[in-house]
Amino acid sequence: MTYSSLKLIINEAYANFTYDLAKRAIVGADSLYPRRDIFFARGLYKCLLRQEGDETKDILTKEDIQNIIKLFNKVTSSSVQIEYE
Amino acid sequence: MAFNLGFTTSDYDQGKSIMIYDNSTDWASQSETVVTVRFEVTSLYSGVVFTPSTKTIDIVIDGVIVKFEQGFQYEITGAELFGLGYTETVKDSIYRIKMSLFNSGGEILTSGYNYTSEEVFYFNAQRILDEYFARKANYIDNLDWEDKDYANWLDTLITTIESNTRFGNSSAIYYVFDIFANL
Repeated sequence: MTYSSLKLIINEAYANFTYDLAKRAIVGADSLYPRRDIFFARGLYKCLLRQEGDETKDILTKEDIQNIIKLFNKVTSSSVQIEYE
Repeated sequence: MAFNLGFTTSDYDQGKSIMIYDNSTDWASQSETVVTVRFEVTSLYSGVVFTPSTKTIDIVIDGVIVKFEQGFQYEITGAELFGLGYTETVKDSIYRIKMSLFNSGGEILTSGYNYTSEEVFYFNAQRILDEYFARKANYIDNLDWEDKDYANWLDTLITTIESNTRFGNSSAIYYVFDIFANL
């Protein structure tokens, strides 16, 4: 899978995260996602979308990006794969 | 005449200079004769220090005002800010830029003839955020609230800057000097 395709999955994971967030807010059960985590997740998401998956263009290495995806998964309770071509 | 200044690199000269431009395009109708344009640049970040603390750049334009009818613009190079021979990209910092005009009698004090960037702009804030995440992501088990607060602050800063850059003709002069403007 290319990083470009992976970004679509990250996009979907973030959309699910915000959707869950809205649902939990409606039912008044938002303790799972503290406010700090919401902003943090958004920062991680934007950071991942800014990369192109090409180390000659990105400022981050592939290992950096994979670590950030792990962090993104942890914060948003997602399961985006970290391997890409 | 009122100035409507903006600052940009948009990777201008590969980030090696700051392009200052005036959107008002009414230099032709101005009543004052301008001899000199002065920029005073101050760094608000302790990691980037000018000597002296305010860098003054004078541009003599007497006799060539007509040249600027389509809007004044000037490129402040890294060498002007950091000394002769400086050829790297402009350093990451928060800068404040004051612009004032002079005629043969001295500074023109008419309203609208000077401008200070009361707002600040941040050079490459996005890269700082990305690199911060990359560094912290290596210690994901030890990420504490302080780490998150800092990341969130950077994110908020960038969001604020981005939202202000959309007011192209307003007096808001935030501009992200971002060579990775891929949002």
